[in-house]
Amino acid sequence: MSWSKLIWLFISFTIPAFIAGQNVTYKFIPPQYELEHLKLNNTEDPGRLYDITEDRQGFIWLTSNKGLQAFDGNHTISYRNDSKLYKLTSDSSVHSLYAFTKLPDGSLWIQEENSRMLHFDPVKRKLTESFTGDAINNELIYHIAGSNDGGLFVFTVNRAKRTIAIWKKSPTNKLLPVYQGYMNPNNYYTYRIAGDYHWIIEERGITQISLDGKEKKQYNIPTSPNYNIDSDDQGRFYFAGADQETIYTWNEEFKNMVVFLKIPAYLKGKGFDFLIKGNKIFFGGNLSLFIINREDKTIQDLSQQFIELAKKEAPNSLGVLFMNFFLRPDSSLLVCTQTDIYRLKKKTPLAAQYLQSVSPVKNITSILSFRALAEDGRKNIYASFYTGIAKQNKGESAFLPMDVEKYISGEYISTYSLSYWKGHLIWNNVSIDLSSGDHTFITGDKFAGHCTQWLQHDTLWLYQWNSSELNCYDLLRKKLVVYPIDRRISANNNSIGEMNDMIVDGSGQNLWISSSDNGMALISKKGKLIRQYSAGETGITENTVTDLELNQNLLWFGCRNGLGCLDIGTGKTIIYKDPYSINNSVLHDRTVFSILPDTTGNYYLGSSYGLLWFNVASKQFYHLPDNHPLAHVEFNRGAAFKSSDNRYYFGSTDGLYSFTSPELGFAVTSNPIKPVKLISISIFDNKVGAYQYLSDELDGLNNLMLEFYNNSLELSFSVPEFYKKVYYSYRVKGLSESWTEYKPENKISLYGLQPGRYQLEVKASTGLNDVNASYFSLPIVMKQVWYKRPWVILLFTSMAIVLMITYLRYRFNQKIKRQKKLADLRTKISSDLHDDVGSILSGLAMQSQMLAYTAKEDQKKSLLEISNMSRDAMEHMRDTVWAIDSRKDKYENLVDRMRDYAEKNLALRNIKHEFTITDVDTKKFIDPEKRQTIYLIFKEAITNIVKHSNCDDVIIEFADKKNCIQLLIRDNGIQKEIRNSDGLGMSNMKMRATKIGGFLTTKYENGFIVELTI
Amino acid sequence: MEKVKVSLIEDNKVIRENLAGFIGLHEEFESGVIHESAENFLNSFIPETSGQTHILLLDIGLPGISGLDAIPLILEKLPGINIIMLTTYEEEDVILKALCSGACSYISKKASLEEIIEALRIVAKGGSYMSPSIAREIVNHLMGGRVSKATILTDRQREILQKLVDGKSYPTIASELFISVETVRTHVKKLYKVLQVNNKTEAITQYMKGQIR
Repeated sequence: MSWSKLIWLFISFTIPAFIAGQNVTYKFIPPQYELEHLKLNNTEDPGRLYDITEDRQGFIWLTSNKGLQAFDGNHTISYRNDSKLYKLTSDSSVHSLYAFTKLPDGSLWIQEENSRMLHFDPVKRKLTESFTGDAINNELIYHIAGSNDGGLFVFTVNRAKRTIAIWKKSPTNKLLPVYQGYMNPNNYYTYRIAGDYHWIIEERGITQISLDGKEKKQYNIPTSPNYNIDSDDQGRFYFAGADQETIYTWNEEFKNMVVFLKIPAYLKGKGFDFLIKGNKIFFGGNLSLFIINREDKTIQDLSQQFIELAKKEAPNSLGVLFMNFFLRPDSSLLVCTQTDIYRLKKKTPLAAQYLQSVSPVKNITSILSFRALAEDGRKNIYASFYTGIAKQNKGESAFLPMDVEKYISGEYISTYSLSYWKGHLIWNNVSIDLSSGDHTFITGDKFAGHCTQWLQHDTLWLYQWNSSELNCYDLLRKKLVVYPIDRRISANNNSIGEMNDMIVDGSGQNLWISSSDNGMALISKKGKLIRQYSAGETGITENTVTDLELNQNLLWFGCRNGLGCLDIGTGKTIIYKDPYSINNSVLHDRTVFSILPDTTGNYYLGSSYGLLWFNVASKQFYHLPDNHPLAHVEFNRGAAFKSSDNRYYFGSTDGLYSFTSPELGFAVTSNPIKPVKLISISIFDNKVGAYQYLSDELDGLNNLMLEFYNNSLELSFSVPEFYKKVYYSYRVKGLSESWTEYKPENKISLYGLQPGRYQLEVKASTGLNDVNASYFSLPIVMKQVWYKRPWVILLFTSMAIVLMITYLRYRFNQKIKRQKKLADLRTKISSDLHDDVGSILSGLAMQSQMLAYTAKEDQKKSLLEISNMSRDAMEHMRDTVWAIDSRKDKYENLVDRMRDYAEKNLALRNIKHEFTITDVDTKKFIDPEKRQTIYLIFKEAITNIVKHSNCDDVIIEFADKKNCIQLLIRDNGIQKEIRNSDGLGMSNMKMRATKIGGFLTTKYENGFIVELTI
Repeated sequence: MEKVKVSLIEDNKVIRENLAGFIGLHEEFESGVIHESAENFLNSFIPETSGQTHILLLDIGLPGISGLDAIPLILEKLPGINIIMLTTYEEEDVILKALCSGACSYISKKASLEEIIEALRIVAKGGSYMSPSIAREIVNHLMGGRVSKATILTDRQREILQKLVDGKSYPTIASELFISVETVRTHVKKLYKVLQVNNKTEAITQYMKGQIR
């Protein structure tokens, strides 16, 4: 190192130290902060807390001797080895967890008491890996730290070898040596990574080592073993000196240690932990809590508050066991003890800070309700109240009541408007000369009731409520002109009752007026209506418009729904609403009573429920903290005023409030709360009678598939919200479309769920309403019992149908078989009978024929007749058997029989014949009765030809003519007389034909024709 | 000219006596053995007497072994015999079975004695009779319902068979084919021979061997 550098080091170190060594005087100021206890609301004992951090989703994590706690601001759950639902590791024994090391990817390394390191993913809520000190040859793991590039470093101590070492964890869980040094067994060691360096802090000094371990620098600045080390998010590194009086920091610019703060002597030994936030140092210990402001040299002592709060939460403890400070990403500061967490927040101002002091008014003991204000040329402020005016002289704080009794006469004692004009105070309708005290009634001769004023230069426009008269008063000439107000403005042509405001329009020629019952209108200065804007047109409720504020082409107005804006050019109106709820009950519309522009062009709004600030550009409402004294005040109409020194006054029913802009800390309306997170599912398995638990990687759950025996489940949700209570509501689509009421309960239990598809929807809100609510949705599918599944039902149904069909077919076939059997039996019986009888008849025929050969001539004929009769009988029997034989039920069988008969019988008389078949499907079935009837008709016809005709040729045609069957028998014989027997035969044939639905015709046409049509 | 010996198996005594008597009245025929059952015929078979029968009139309905069942037994003893089935009424499937078993013709008992004698003459001359319904049964049984499929038949046989199926009379068929009625009857008898083979393959084999001409 060069001499110049050495000198520079000496100077840069000693001079600040010298300066710091001077007894800088810090003064104590009343605490501007207060502690708020954040209840952990844990169902299980979280144990003794050791460290705290926050994940990317906004959940706070705490290590303890009982495991890992997840705190969302309303509930705490414990991830422990002995937990079934939130199991941390596969071990059954519980080990203490110590320090967190948070990596850039958001994952956490946690030091466990048995030198094991756990890698935990707080988003997935899952342990991803772990390793122990055994991996590095019995080195004792002291500390772990993460670098900005995501590297994990482990600091170890080996007392046997008297070495300390820094290791870097490789992706394969190997620990690679980075640095090794000598260990003094009597020293304590602390290790940090800050910026791009390893820092090993021991009592005798600090060692700074580059991340790769190649460069090392020693600083012989003894540190305090009792003080914590801090490093901020800028990578700056702080540590306390052994004198417990100095806090040092590493200055990257000078590449040196410099003094950051000389701790006030009063605080020496009173704390052991600190957190640096800008110029503020938060300094704490078991019984102390201080805020040191380096800039204004102040100290705030919150120790008493700290002790009282801590004792209240742990009354039996011997003291407050301070753990550390934690700065959240939203810049709020948490003070952590070993049992509790407190939030440090700015103190709520008292109402007295804003409430104007008003000296007592004669005969009035109640709180004054203030209306209009004015300021005179000497910057005195005048504030009107119902029975008088109070005056605040310039430079004074209190308002003193003026003597105005002499002005008040008549029956009306009220106030609404107040203006200042050239040494005069104009109150309602009376003009008061402030120097002489004389007064003039502008209208009438006595003090009027509510009046609305508009002062334009030296002209006062005045409307007395319910008067229907617009008064134009020349203040210089003291001349009054009265114009009747257009009666069309108010409904039913009545006078305007409550005119809330009156201002000149952009041209200066007309007046905008607003009223409680008639909305707003543009009138001429002579009272004529130019344009009216009704409730239906503007969308306002009850047609009530309060205050008016003209901004170029936009007319802003107050109404019961909120803040309205009329675009004068287009005539379109937009209402900006800002509903509120009291104690998180139902929402109410917030009425805006007064609009007061600030110095930035935005508006302060006096409303029915608190003071608001409205950003005209973003159209957003900003609110005061819920416990701010101005957050819930009901302000009056026409009671907003800005003084020349930029102080804002708002009159209310509870007094007069004033403030300057820096005194109020508005915040935009609560952002939508963070997303709802599903943190656990407990599913009851009816088959085994036990629960199945799911508590990790639930963010990635797209749907929940359940078996039919998992019909009871419980789901837990969490939303990180540390300022307000969170309420949950849900519905299960498929069971009901209705949402449940909002409740703080974050568990949903579903019992006896039936198979089917459902959609679980959950919403969370900080109010009992859907304003800024956060939504969650999860499809749930419960599989049907196997025997109720569609494909199984289909299969069973199909099988049942098949079985039914098979059974019916079997029955049918059995029936057919029976019928066939019966038919066969019938046929067999008849044919057996025919056989037996036929044999007898055949024998008889042969016998008689044989006898005829040897008989005498006179006996031959009789014997031959017997033979023929026997054969005829056989033929008849054969016809009968044929008729009932079901095997002969086709057209071809009928045709064969007819052919056979024709051939045999016509041949006996040598009659030629021709038998033709046309379009008859011979394979087609024919009804047995029809078959028999057609054959008998045919047989009769042929028999007639054989017996009676003199023909020698017969044509037989059997045709299927689409819609009928036709049988035509035509001979070429000469017509003979029809004998009785012929006639009888014909009538039989006709009767047979009719019986089967046909008809028979006979005619003579070059031969005898018999035609059967069916 | 040698007389045609006709034997008779008929259980009805009246038919048996009259038929046998009537046959005996015709010089061209000679009565052979007459029995009332197939068993008697077979049991009393004497080649010298029973074996000389040219035509056997066989009743279908017999006591004991039926006429149908007796056909192969008889043909075994008398392979060259012509068996004419005596039917009470013409049951096509029974007749077809008889023809397939080896009978060469059939006649109804209802027929007159003269018609029976005429049938004997036709068979003695080498012919046979076939009704349209029997022809259809043959076509269905042997040829799958179509005459054109009857590849084991000659063209002429197929022609005659088709005309028989169409219901044409023998004289009509003879006229249309320019052959005699006896030739038609002869062809019919050959058709019956084809029936006596159990399957087509055997029929083809028989055909190729020249046993079916």
